[in-house]
Amino acid sequence: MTDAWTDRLSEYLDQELSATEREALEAHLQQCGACSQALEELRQVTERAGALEDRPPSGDLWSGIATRMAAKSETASHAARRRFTFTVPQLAAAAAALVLLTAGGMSLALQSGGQRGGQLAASAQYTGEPVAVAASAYDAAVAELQRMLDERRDQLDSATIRVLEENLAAIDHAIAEARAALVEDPSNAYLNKHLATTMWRKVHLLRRAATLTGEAT
Amino acid sequence: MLTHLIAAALLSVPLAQQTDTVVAVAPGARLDVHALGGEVVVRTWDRSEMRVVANHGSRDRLDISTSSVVARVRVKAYRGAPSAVDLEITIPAGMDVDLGGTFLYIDIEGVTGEVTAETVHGDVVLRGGSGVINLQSTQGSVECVDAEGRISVGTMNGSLQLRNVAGELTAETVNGSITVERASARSAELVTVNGRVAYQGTVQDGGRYMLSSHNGDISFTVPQSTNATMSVSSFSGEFVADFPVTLTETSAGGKRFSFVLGNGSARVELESFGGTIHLQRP
Repeated sequence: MTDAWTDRLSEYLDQELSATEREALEAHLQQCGACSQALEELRQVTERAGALEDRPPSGDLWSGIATRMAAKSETASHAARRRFTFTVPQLAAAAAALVLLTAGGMSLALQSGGQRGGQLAASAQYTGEPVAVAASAYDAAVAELQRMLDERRDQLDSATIRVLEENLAAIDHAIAEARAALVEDPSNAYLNKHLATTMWRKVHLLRRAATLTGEAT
Repeated sequence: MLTHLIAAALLSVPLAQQTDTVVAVAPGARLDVHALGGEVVVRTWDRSEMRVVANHGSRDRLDISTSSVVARVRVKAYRGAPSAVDLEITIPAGMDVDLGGTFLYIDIEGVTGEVTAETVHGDVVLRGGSGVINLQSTQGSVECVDAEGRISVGTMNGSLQLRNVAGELTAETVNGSITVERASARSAELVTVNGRVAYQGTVQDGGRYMLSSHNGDISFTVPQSTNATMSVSSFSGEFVADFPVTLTETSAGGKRFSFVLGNGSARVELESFGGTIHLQRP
């Protein structure tokens, strides 16, 4: 799927190409279905992130996580000066973590120039490894939500706990399979998007579970 | 532990008392019902009043309060946690509705206002209505029939069924199937992890449709006159079409490809990591 234009798609989405480059890329898109599809997928992950409600779950469970993530995220954004453009797989992975930040009210900590949260993934300037930061934020959020769930599990009935565990196991299995598939085919845009959305689904489920425990008290 | 005790109490206490009352509701007021357990049935009539028929425990009382913006129904215990309650509530059709509970079965019919219904243990059924509709369960199934608008349904462990629906559809589950029949949707986003996803209905010009599963099969039924750009993606699954298609793009390995039906106006994405993607005619 890769060609000379593949790594310029994120710049195109952010309207950062020159007029000449933009025209050339648009002409290329007319002819290249793979790039058109990749561009559409990039649009989807960024739109999904940008469309999320900026609303924490009940019981303020999210605030603690967001605070912990803020320090890490601010470090990443404030020290930044070097231009960094995501490739397709990087954008997909970053978008998954970006969803966490946007949903948790932390997008402002990362935004540059008032852009929408979703666009940030493709255009923010970082010094470090942005995907590493995103993955780290994701891992931190999952661990924190899992810890909260473990601490409050006695507020849920056994049937609900069983369902949650079954669902988390199903999602973990899907994530593991998607990761393994990406080892075989790292440039596969579908696999990258699938992994990102499945990771997002796990956080969504954990947040939902945290809300359930909040309701039960 | 608290939840275990409440669940046990809900199951053990008989419904011994009936309350039947009618109250006036202000135009534009929203119905707000939250009950720990039991059943809530909502029906409509052409009067600007709300009737509440409740079968509840003798140790409980019905608490109904109304204002210019909300008509609130609660069950309160004189002592301890309330027992299960069966509520049948009749309201003006255009009233917005917000229902919630933990061990609650929810049944709504004929409401044309905005509907939000959420339960943990129990099914949610909605018939009729238009506008914004949001139906969620954690361990139950959700069924939405004869409705139109921006419809969102979800569960963790259970099936999602939408029949004769129109508008913008969103359905999401983890361990469960999603079935959409006789749909006339401008857009549909149907996503599960372990389960089958099936869409049967019209594909509108300019519409967007996305069906995704990790392990389950995808079934998409397209009428003869469909104008759509179709994208199919899988990793280890298969693609089966009941009619000839001409591929316009194929990725390495042949697991990602696209093709055009008619003038290609709508966008359709069918994705299954490991399941079979089946394209068929009605």
